Amino acid sequence: MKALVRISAMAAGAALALVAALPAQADSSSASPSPSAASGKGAAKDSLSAAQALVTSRIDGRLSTLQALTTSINSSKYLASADKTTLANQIGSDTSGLTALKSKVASETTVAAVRTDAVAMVDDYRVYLLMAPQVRLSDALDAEAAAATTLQNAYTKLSTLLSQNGGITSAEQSELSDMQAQINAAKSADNGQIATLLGLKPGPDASSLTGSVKAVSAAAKSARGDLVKARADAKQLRSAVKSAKPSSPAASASASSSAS
Amino acid sequence: MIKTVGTAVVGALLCAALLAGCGEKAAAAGGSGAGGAQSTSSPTAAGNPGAANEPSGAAAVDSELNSVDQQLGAAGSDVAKATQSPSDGDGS
Repeated sequence: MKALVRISAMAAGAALALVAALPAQADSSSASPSPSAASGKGAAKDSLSAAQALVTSRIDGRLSTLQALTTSINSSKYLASADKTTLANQIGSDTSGLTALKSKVASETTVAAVRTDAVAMVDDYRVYLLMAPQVRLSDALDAEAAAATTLQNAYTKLSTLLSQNGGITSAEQSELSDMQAQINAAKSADNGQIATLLGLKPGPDASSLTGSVKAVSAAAKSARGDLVKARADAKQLRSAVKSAKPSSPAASASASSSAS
Repeated sequence: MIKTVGTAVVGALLCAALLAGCGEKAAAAGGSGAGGAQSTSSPTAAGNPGAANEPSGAAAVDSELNSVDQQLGAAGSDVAKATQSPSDGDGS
């Protein structure tokens, strides 16, 4: 049994070492071919082929990600129609561009040209750094907007129900006020974030893009936190409605009209 | 003779037209009836005063809170995915 465990551990170690070695080898072939590689025509050709294979593989990875993002957009329950269209158009444009770039890479005759294509693949599209977060965060922001609307409806109904059940106590009023404040805070945190997010364009300044995406992500997180608190308030108030005894229809009608 | 046949044909056509009209009206009444039944059973009936309407209002709140759970779940999952590192490790 121990021997079996040892063999498994060795096999896993060997596999990890192999996987770790591949990117290093790939990077050296694409980034800077060694001087010895350029000494003969055959070596140069090998180096070019390796560079082309690596960049093609990286383009394919991006195309797969774009395909997955398209599936997410199509199956999203919360993305607003306009945001869906904007994102789908951008993904379509990126897919066309990267497919054309893939053909260009295949026809390059020098490693330097392939290296330039690799830079374009990253800077002109920013699939991982920008496009993927744009899709995910747009969905998050639209889901939060839907949650804020739903909670606002629940707030109105809870106010009415509590009024009908003999009036709102000061504790319940405090919960209602907090619920409304949390909904407002969430709306405020999310306000304008989708426009900012979808306005971001790919480019060479990765740290600037990362900063912008992180800011939107932080706003979405903050809004979600507010909405979670509003939901907790709503659940407390729902329990209060459950435990309260319904008053007479006449009293309920009077309480309801005074609440509105 | 021809007059009699003509009168009979016109009469038959009128009867058919009347029957068709009645059918349409019946169908229309059935449609609106079903719609009416749907609207009275909808959760928004909570707006009416009185204890009789309280359960439907509370049920509507429960339904909304379930929706909020799903909406916030989706938002949380999306934010987490958005901040995951790039899959090919080149920071692009």
